[in-house]
Amino acid sequence: MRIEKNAMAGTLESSDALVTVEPGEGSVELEISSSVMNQYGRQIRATVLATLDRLGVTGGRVTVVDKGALDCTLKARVECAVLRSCGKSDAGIPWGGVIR
Amino acid sequence: MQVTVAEMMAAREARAQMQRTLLSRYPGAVLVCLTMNIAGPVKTDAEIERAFDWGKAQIRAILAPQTSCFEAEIHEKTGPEAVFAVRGDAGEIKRRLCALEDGCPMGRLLDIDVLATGGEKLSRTAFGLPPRRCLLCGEVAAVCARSRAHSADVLFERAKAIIRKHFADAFAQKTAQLAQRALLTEAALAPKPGLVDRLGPGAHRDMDLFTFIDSACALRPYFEECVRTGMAHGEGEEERCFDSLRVPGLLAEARMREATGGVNTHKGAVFSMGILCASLGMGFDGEGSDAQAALLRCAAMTRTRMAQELSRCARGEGGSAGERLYREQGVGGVRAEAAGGFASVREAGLPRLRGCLAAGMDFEAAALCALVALMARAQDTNALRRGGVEGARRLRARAAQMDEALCARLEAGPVDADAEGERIRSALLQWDAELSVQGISPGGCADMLALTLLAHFSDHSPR
Repeated sequence: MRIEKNAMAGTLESSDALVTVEPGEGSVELEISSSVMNQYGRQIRATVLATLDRLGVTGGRVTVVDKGALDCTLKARVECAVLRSCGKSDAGIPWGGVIR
Repeated sequence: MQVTVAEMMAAREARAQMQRTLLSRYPGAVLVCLTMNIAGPVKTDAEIERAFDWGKAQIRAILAPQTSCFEAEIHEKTGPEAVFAVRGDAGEIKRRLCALEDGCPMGRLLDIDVLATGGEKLSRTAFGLPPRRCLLCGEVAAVCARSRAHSADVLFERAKAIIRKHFADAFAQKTAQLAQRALLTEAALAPKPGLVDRLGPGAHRDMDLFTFIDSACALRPYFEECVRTGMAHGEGEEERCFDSLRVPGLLAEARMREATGGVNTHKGAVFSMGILCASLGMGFDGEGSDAQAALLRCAAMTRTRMAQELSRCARGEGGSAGERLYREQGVGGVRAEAAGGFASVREAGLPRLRGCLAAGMDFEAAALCALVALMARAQDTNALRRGGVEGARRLRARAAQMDEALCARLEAGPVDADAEGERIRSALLQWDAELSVQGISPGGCADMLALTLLAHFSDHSPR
């Protein structure tokens, strides 16, 4: 899947994450900030990268502002942002459906 | 009703969308959003909604000085939400709302987000405030939640326990406050025949209104303890509950004497109002307690013990005024009243108070009519002691005459409420002058009037 335009998913509420994706070529540029960075920074990065990998995203800029989201929430927010970036309607987004 | 993670995520995005809409509709406004901190798949039920309503009321009070632009609430299965748009300094608002979140255990269950005009969410750490802590272990909440250190069930139950304790505490405090208010209101009501009131000390030489104020304030913690004792006892434990009040009652009496310099202002009230407070506590269902049922429950609490006590009195033990009177004249006084579930309050005091209020009389006049109705029927050991058998009989007969005449007028149809108020006041003013000279004071009826007022207040907190 390709990131075709800027898109966002999630919120800044506690236990959630706000994920922003922008088109780009060559490689995935990932920026993460988190309220639990010290404890979970590496796990968050791994989860986001694995999700992008399974979606087939190979290039673009991805920003994650994490507020303590669980892995399942993080996966779903990343997935949703990518789907939105390639024009899928909000209603048609299969929450957590593409990735198990 | 359970929600899925996906539904919660959708609700959060919908909320964020609503926030953006409101910020653009009210440029320059600050947004305050309340949601509840409840772990697990169940986000709403009656208790959670009550806690939410409490939180909403606190926020409204804190935001009261700000100009409000908009307020709305959403009740979905994803949990109750409220949003407020106000004009004001976002930082100051955030600081005040953090004080609410941190101020009491229930505050911990409130999740209050403050969004500044530009849409940025204010964080507590930016104000030098500590991060929120886990409900169970005291670790930073975000870390605990991320690690799933505790099961959602345990966290959910903890939240529910906090809510229940909050409302139980509030009920105990509120009821004790109403008991104190009933005593103070009773003392102030005027003119009362022979009794201390705000116009004077009546037939008394050793106390006045201020003695009653001192005493009523000193007794408030005792009433709260009685309510809590009641809440700690369930159905079938009425007698045990009453037994648990003995020692607190004795200690309260000592506190009363300490506060009044040794004067017995409220010994009867310590007994009867303590029992009613405990009974209201026993009937607490998480929201309130039915006063009529509470009065009836007093019978179950005291019947056996009162019969034992009175038969002991009859055998010649016990030296209090009430005990002697029972021995000599068979008058059960406050003990018999309690054992009968305060029938005079249920059948005379409350109906007369409410009947007069319904007829449009002012509160004081209605309460004075209730006093007369109580005097017409209750065996007042204070009056007996001071006025003798004949004095007490005359007192009851006169009250009965007044009460019957009033009832006849009330039944006959609409009354002139002002004229009725005038009538009861002038009759009691005259009677007060007579009893004050004779030194007769129906203190037992005054206690029953205070009970009537507590029962009334606990059903209708604003008069």
